[in-house]
Amino acid sequence: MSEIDAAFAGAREGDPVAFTKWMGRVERPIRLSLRAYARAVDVEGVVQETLLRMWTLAQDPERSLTGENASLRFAIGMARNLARNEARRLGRERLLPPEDMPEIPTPPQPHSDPRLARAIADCLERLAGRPLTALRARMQKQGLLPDREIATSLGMSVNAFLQNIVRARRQLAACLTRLQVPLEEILR
Amino acid sequence: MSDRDRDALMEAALTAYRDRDPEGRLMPPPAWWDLPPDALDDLFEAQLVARDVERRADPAGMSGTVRAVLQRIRGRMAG
Repeated sequence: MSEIDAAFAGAREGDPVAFTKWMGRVERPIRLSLRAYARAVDVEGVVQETLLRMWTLAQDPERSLTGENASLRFAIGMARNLARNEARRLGRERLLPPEDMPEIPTPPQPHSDPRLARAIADCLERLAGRPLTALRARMQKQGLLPDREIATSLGMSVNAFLQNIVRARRQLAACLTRLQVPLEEILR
Repeated sequence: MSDRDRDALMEAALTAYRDRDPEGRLMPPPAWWDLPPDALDDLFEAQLVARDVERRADPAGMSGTVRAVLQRIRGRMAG
């Protein structure tokens, strides 16, 4: 049984911790499978909706998925269907890729490379001032709060908050490049 | 659109936070609608990098996307 299958089996028992582990392994391949849909739909929203629906599916004892990494394969198919439906709902179907577009295999999320994690941590520590404050707050609270609330809690306008994050990301990218960890390596 | 305005719009759309409409559907952020098609391609790549950085920097290995979904699941379980 693959790590993905084991985590999904735990989720089927109603365990949110197992489902969180499963999400950590499949988020990236699901997102990658939606690259061709980026002009038609809000990919972030489709990824989140797919994950939520997979939680619902995991709780349904009538549904069973078979085969290695079946939950990931099912989720990718679901994500693409959701993207097509969402594009139609938003009136952006002209921006959809062709229906017969060949499927690009999407491997599971690779295991975390400790060297990369250390480099990112080092570079985050080198950020300073308001760019650091803004980026850290966004990273910690974005799943829960809109930017306007995070910005207000920091005493920043929304625009200043966004500009500070832009600066922080540039500094982070430059630092990673200096440490010979270009962003392309993160994306592999 | 100036580079500065484009960067701010991209960053506003990059967040994992999503509002819901009255039917409970996740809504694209307002900034997303203002981005031209080529910027939406760039947004996709920027989100991919941002979520990877979040995952690797977080002690629990959670990206903003996973945190947002987990929040919804916990809300459902509590409700």
